[in-house]
Amino acid sequence: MNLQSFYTFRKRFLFIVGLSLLFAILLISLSPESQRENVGNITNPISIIIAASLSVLILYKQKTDGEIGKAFLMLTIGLILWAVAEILFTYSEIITLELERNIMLSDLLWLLGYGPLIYYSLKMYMLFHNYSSKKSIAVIIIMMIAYLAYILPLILDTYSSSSNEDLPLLYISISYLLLDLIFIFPASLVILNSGIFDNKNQGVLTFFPWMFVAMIIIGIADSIFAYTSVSGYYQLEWITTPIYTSGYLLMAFGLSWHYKFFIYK
Amino acid sequence: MSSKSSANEKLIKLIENSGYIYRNQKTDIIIRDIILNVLNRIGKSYSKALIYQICSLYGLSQNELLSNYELFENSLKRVVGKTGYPIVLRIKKELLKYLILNKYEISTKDILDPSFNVPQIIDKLSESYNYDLISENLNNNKRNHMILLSNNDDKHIEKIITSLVQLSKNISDIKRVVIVLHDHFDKKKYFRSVPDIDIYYLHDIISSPSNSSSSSSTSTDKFFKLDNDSNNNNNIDLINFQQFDNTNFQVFCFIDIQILQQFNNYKILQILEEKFEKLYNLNKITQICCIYDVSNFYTKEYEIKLLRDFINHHDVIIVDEPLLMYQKFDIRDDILK
Repeated sequence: MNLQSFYTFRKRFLFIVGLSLLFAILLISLSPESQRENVGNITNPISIIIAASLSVLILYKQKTDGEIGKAFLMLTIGLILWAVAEILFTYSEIITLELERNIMLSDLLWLLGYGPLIYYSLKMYMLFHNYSSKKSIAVIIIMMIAYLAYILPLILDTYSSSSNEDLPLLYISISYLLLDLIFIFPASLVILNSGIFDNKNQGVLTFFPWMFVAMIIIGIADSIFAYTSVSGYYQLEWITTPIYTSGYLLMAFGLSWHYKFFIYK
Repeated sequence: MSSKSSANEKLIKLIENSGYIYRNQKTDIIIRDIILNVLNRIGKSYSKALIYQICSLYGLSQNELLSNYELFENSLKRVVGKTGYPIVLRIKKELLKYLILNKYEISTKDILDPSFNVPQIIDKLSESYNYDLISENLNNNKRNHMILLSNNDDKHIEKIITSLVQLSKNISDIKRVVIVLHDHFDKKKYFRSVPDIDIYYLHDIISSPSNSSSSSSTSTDKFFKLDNDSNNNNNIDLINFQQFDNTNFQVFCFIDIQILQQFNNYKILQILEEKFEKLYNLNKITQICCIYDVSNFYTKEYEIKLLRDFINHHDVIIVDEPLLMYQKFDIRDDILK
């Protein structure tokens, strides 16, 4: 593929990404109000299954040798754990019709999935983006502290003022937020370093840090999910589904980009 | 700096177009191995895919990409952007490790200096290998007719001349001669440890030819026989070369091309080179080392054809900044090798 045909391909790829995201968001948002959450609970596992399958395919082709091989092994484990967690969650929401949010096996799988995913994001940061300035590190840390200073009191206040007295659920929800922050930290630095805001330093093949943008989106969805779970506003939970689906789909597109350009066939 | 390097490029182009080839490929092989090693450590499939993508996007062959580090670094940065910096840093680290482990001259200051970049390290490595190649050539060949195209960088000249003189020190019956047409020639600098050496200053002969025939300098008389009509260069009959017959000898010529140009007297050099060429096969040990100061090649367009003619008399060409060695391309030799 020469440079000209590459740019044509890139344009088409971005068009498909935009179209897919728009389709997923509209599919959930424009569904009948009573069905929105169910539709979202179907699109979530579908999108993460696509991402996990691509990850498995990459692992099969790329093997586990080298630092990137180990990072992708961890990513695959993390995505499989999350995919199973999503399937179990959807099962409990749609088939067993659990109306109240309780701690489930899916929570355990989600929490377990963070480990390999954090390894992946830290490894990728160390491998390709380990040149952040002290200033950008400081800015990200300050933003994270500010975010925590806002969200933690909000969740605690909501919990104390709500009828929900499930304390373990509160802990689980807070754990999601804290674990999200661990991978959001390298993800934010990668995004800052990627040249996404600076055309001069942008690589032709690495113009968009797909996986890391997806992680930030999932982090945002987790914050909203934690808030709705603790507050007991379950009717608002559907809002998180298009965000999760977008995050997982972005991951899938990022993995297909990696498969197309960084796997030797 | 940039004008100098572009002028060096011009010089190198001239040499390569004159049928000389650069023999040192060891540096290229080491760089290629280090790049591949660094990329393979990230992942073999990733490494192959990255090289394939760079080559196909920019229409390069793998050999072209990996044998020219600057091309590799620029292409890498274009393809993966800033993501390529850590790869470049790893290559730098590996190169430094290689230099240290192989005991090459490198200072702690250079190692710790973040601005000491990969091309500079490669230049250092290449310089060391070229010295090895030059020494090997001096050791193995008893007959040498080499030209050193210098930019007034005495470091390389001094080292090469010292090696040449050291190599010949054990030979008792060797005649050493220095021919000088350079304003800044310093005998002590180059030949301090050499007791028996005759020095002839071409400058006097060229600038005052009418005096030269009546000059009292016996050495010059012995060395050169000049016609009274100096303007008619064709009639210059240079030196009595018979003194070198059946004698091992070393000749060092220090020539500033600008001085020759000032006197419009290139012919004298041409004749000198032709005589050297004839002498070349006569004796067992014949070492002729011509040091041409071409520093002004950068500012003025010299008659390139003339320079090419002078160069063509030599079997080995050495260029400094960066130090490179070229050898005459001989089809028979190269096929046999």
